[in-house]
Amino acid sequence: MNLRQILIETFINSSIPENIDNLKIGDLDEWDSLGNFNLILAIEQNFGIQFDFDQLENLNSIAEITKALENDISNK
Amino acid sequence: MSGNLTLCSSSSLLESNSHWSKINQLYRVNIASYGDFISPLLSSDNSTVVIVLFLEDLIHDFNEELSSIQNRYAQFFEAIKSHHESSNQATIICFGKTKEYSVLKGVKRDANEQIVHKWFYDQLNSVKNELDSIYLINLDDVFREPGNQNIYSDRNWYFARCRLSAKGLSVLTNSIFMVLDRLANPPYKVLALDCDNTIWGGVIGEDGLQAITLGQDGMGAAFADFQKEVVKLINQGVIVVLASKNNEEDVWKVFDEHTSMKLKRSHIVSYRINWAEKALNLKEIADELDVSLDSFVFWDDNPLERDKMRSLLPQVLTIEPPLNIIEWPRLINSLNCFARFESTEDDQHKLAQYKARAHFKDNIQNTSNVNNYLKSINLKPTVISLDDSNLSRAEQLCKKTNQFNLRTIRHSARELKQFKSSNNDFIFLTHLEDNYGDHGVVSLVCLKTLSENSIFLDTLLISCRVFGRHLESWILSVILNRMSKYDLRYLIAEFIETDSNILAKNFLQNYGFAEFTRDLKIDDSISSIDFGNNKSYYYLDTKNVEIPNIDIFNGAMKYES
Repeated sequence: MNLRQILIETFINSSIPENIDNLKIGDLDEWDSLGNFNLILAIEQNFGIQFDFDQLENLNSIAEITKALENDISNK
Repeated sequence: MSGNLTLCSSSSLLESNSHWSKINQLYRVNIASYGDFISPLLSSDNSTVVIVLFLEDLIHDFNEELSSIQNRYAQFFEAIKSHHESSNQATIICFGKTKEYSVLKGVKRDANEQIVHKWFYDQLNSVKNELDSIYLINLDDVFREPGNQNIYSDRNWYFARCRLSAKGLSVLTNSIFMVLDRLANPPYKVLALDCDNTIWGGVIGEDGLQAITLGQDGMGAAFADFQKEVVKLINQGVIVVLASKNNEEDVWKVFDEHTSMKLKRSHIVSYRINWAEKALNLKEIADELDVSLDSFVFWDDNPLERDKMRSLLPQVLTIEPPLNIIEWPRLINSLNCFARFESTEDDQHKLAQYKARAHFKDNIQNTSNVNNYLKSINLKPTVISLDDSNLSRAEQLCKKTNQFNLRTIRHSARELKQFKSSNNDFIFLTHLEDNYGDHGVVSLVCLKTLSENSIFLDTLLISCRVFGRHLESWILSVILNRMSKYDLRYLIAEFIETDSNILAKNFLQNYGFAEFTRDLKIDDSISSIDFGNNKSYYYLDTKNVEIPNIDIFNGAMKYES
């Protein structure tokens, strides 16, 4: 799954725009702090990774999440 | 939607997480605030309650005196009991501990946390055993296979006050879903097995008896163990049939002559061993056994056969077995599709009963006068009052009977007891015996008084294993007999259509019931009937009623046992 598909599955009652690059917490009704955590869990499960506690606090937007994913992949 | 469900837990379960969506699709879910699992038990909105408890949320200091912990939680256990008294819905309690005990701490004496954990678990377990609406999921057991380190997450705990990892949520919600699903839907009844490369290795038609793989060692032992698991299912009441593309005599040669066969010819209730499409064969078997296809599970090693079955008969559950045979015995053992909450004494006689049924159908097809034939088989129905010894069978009949069932209301044991306490005459079971054997308890009737003159047929169901014997005639005569005892003139029935209960509608039409409409004034006092939403009601006027086919029960008209 790509990030957009994960957004669709996590926020089932929201309509997800085609371009998600600038999307961040608060932009969708369901994307509140708890929604954000559900999103992170779904991303972790999908990519088979685990973010650190420290990272979690900053992962509040697609931009940050993409950056963290890229770092994670380049570290492997 | 099956109704309301209240979810309460001792810490966050991320209820908006997509792992909960399968439960959200079945129920309107209300979420209680964390840590409050008592007030949902005391509310009376008749919703199903799911309680998820982790020991470490409940007890913060394991050095606390056990007696003081017991005092603190006494109210909780009281609340469970009083909820059971007042609600008709199930309560599912999930309980686990999130921490492993140190080996050294418990090796000589029980550590405090072990003592508290055991006390709590024992309390919940005895509540489960005592009260039939309470179900207990022991999370320690459920989480053993995936392993605690994959299930619990310290990061999620500190970040979101959720004890579980995403994997943990997935396993928890699946377990709860399984219980909810079994509460709503009966288990599957029939296992249809392929032969070649399924119950033995190799192709009997090509390899011959000596060359097939089955026996003591290696892969042969895996096939033998798979068969052993099938025999276990048979002993639990599952019906096994064969659907194999083969020459019939080749297959029976293996059954008769191969010394490592655990499955015996006598275990097989029906079979189609031919070159026809397996979907057609299963359809024929379903007709023969009077079991609907949505109660069938199909197990075949051949992916092509599985794909064909899925597209031709999607209602059949087609298992996707692993490529590696050594995984099969464990998989079939862990299948949930046949699992039931309780096994009744009746389940152990299933094999004989279905075989008798096949024999009966065979004979009746070859007779010219059906009623004369039925007279000759010595039908002996007996009325049985509901009591503790047959309560679980009565509940099971409610859950499993799909075809001859007027309203398909899945009464719980509790609700059945309520009929009994309102009037012992208004609920009864029927036991049937004839030349084909003892069929056990095969029917349930529940009646509800509507007015001075009329009574409502809340439940009338007959197990498919005795179809074709006009047992409904005899049961109707018992109902009329009881009605006359109370001077009741009208029997009011409702037909609630499902995919498979057309037989019950035919009964109403063939036994003199007339359609009941709003304008019909048979009885002024019938005000409690709700004619909304396309409901179809019928009534039988017991003045001058004649029951068809009742003569076949010649010698057996003694109603009460």
